[in-house]
Amino acid sequence: MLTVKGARFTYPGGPEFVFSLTIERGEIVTLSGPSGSGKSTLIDLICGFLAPLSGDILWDGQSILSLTPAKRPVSALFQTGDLFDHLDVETNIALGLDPRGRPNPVQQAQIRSVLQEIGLPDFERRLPGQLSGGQRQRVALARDLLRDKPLMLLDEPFSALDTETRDEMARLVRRLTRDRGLATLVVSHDPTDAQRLGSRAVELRDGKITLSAQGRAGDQV
Amino acid sequence: MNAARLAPGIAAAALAAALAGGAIWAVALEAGGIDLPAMLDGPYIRGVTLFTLKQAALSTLLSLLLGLGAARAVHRRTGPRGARGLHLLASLALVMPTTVAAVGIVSVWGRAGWVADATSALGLPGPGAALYGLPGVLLAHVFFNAPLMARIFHAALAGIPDGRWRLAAQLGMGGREVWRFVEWPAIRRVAPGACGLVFLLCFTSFALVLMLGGGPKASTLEVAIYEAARLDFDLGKAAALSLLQLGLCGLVLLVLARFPTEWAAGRGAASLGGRIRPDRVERGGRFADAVVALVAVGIVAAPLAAIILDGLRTELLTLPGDPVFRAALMTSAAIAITSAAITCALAWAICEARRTLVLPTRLGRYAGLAGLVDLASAIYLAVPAIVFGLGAFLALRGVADTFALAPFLVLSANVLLSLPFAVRALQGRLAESGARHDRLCASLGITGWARLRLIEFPVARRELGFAAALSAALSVGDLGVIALFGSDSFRTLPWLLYQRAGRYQSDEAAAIALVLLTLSLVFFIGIERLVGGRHADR
Repeated sequence: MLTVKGARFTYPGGPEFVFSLTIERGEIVTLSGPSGSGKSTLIDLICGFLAPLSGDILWDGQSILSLTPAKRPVSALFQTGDLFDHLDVETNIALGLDPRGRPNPVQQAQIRSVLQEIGLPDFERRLPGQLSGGQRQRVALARDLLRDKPLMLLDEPFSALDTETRDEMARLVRRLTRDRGLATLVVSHDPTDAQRLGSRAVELRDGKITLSAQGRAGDQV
Repeated sequence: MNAARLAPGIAAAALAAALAGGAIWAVALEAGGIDLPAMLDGPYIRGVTLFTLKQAALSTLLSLLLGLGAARAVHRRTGPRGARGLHLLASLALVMPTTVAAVGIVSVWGRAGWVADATSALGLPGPGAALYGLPGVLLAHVFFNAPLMARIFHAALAGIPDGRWRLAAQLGMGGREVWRFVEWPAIRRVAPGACGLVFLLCFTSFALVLMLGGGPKASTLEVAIYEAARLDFDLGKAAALSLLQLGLCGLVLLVLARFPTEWAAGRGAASLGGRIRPDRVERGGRFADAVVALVAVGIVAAPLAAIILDGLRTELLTLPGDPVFRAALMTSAAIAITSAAITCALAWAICEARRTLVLPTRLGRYAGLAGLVDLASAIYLAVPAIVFGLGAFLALRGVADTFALAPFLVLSANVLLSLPFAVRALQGRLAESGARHDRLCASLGITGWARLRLIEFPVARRELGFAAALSAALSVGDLGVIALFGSDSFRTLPWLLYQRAGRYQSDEAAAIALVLLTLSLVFFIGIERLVGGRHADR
């Protein structure tokens, strides 16, 4: 379970954010809020790109603040830069298994298997530029799945996708969260994404959670 | 903070700053015993300073006029092929050794040059010795800088959206209105920076003035420093002139910093603009373009052709039999390759440190340190080679045999003087890659060698290739520090060319000029392709 306990952060000259949030394994939480409300800051704090001034961030009761981003139990999909454009699909996914990008035969088999799982078999040699927006997202998701981290953070994952692809990706995220027992946090501007994902909706205003409601799972998905 | 990403770059920037600081300090100490105000007030230095400013201002104005005219003509009359030709010409001017250009200009405009032949055949008075002095300096500076200006202005014109040209055509705009409402807003953005850059380049010009100037009446500060140090051995005077030069360069840079300098502008986007501009069919426009083409041929194309034709007419194949030539060729090649490798390593480290310091997650805490790194890498824009060389000589003269250290000093100067250009070539790409990939790399644990091999090198390979090629080409043609330290036991090709041209061995000079031009181009194109790989074409 992820627990963000009074994590406080302030940008120089900016407002103060104080975050408190819990996400259970197998649960999806959708985080929304206006620009500047602190959504990306919360993601950065959990990932380890920013350090809170006070408070704590815990995974299964253990603080993760001292861990580097790569060592945290987190895999994240960012709004931009989710893939390396000059590397093919296989190498992009392989980097989730081996940061030197040299997968062994077992790992190569894993990559083929996960590409099958996300519906992109035989895409190993393609470059990201040759993929559609939805396919790119799925490749990035495949890499994160192979990293086998229990906490998945998705920063505006559907913003560049058409409605049909959004639905398809939402189904995939729901299935993976359920089957793998992940704790999933999705940042989204679109209020329908919470319903699409059947998730608990959380709204941020000035760094504080102002609304928490259960989306209706499966109604639209 | 990530020490492994910061330490090499900060060390490189500190080294560059320390070497510049050391040279300036040595110069200042030497000048300390001199009555500076009295010396600077003398007629000689006043004359040299005024000439330096005058030739730089006139060169900038003429380059601006020809560059702007050429850019408009190419945009009006040609498509992508013309843009590529302009890009090629600008690249050629960028890498062509100044000594080679001087030989070409003499071949066309000199006492026994093409123009003299033509005027003599027509029974008209020839140019005589009029080339040597302000006219020669201006011709040479326009030769180098008009293509650079043309490239910058053409890129600005090519960047104007097609919709604006369509609107101009629909509204029935004539040439004057097109200039006022469509072209001028685009040109205005880049012109101050381009003019400032060209002014600085002409202000610090050395080899061209040395070869084409005309005695004390047509001498720049750099040449005056060289003459004081090498010919008169008046080190105090050389030091005082160096301080004056540094002060004026700093002043020019301060003014230049206020404007964007898009000198590395791209090749110009492919757009329909040129084909749909309404002034394309105007008679006045056609006449102006024809005049520009004629002037450009006379000033830029003719000397280029002269270098090639004169070089081919000489006993070119006997050159390799000359041991002095062979030694100079090997020295130049070795210095260029070593200089390119060291420059790129230092520039890469500096760019890496800089982008690490300004990561968004640093929240601006290290912006001051990043500014210092910037300053250290750009300091050699304000410290001319001759001043650096003089400072090094003054600092080392009691400690070591400076002439024995000449290869090291020439190499150091080439590295340091190429550094601002290499940093500029790499900085944008590496910063963009950092902004795009830092988080992903951090979250996947891609660090150190793996990050360099997998991410940074493939992404910035093209820019690295350009930086290495430019650095090698600038080094192979440099006649700066070598002018102070060159001797019979240590020669580079530009130094040998300068010596042969100075002794009126014009056949040998023409042959060496062609070899030097070829070597510069081979280095520039070869290294860019070798390091930049297939990305060099993108």
